[in-house]
Amino acid sequence: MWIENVQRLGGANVGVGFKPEHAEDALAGSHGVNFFEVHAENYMGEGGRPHRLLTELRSRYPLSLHGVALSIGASAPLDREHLARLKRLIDRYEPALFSEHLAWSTHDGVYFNDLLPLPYTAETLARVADHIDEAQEKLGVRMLLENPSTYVAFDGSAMSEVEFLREIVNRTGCGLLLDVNNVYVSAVNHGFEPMAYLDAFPMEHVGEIHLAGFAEDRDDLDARLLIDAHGTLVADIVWQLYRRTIARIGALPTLVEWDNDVPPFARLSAEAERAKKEMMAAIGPRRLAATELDCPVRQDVPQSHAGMSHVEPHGCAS
Amino acid sequence: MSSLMDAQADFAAALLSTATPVPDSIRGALRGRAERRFAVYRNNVAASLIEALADRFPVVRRLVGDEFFSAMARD
Repeated sequence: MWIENVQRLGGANVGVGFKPEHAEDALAGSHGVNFFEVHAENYMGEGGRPHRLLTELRSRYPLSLHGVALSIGASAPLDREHLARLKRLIDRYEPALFSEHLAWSTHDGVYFNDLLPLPYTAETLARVADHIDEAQEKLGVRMLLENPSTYVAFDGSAMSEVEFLREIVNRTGCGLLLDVNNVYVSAVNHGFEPMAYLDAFPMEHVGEIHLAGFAEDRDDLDARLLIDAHGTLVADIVWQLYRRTIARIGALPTLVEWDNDVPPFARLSAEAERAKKEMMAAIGPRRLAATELDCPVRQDVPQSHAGMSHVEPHGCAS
Repeated sequence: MSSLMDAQADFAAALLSTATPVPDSIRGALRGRAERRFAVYRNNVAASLIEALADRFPVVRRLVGDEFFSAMARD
């Protein structure tokens, strides 16, 4: 089962964020979840129950390692010790995917447990590219960089988020993690058209998709302000954007995040199973056949574009 | 000092103190239109600090209750 699961990650596979309280149900296997994602920082201790569970999970399912604290957008240098801890995790678990965020979370030795926004300028671009180069070099894997949810924008931004991400990919060779919920949240918050954002997004570099639920508030002008809360079902509008994305680019590993007010495992896995159905419907019968029978990675891009290059999950089954 | 470093220093200072104004570099800040937006970040950071404190002092939290503990931590 392990071999089969690993070989199939890359195409029409769906995952959920792993929660320790779901361990029994997740490991029991009677669900449609194909892979699990964990936050790297939750596994930076040396041993104990977290690693026992993760080792067991990894023996049955492909893993996606999702970093939330590398602070790639910080003006200060990357934390070398944090990078070393990430390296140990990657060596130990050989995740099929590794991702981080276009954000910052540290300043002057203080760690803010949040993903903070960046001005999209030439200076930020150079800084972020240097940090990604350094991380990919040290970790020996390709990183997928995630588009953020943001609540404020900077007057000094000189380019759009999509232009910024495209240039980062050009400079570093990293891939992208497209969080469709984040696209919608930021689109509402900043008044841009989410379809236009997706149309401009460099889809050929996307190796994973995230879906999640948002919360809703009001800003200073009493306009809608969406919060990336990860505490509810995926919204209908986000499903629509997801179907449109998949119809355009084909099957991609898709993960449902649910980090607050975490529901029973059955509810979470049902949301992942819905993602699989939506993905299959959006691909259509012709492409579905190709996805199921042939190499799991999308047919229209080189294999190396779908995720990390040194791990076998993205190879064909042959 | 780089402008990115300046922007992050201002942002960080305003995150940790509600008495520090929303940084000028943020769109709408000068017209007072970014307060509620910036508050999302302030709240996220405050909530995570309270969570860290609660992990460190679980008995105190049990004794005084979640609500009081959070209010006390925010002070």
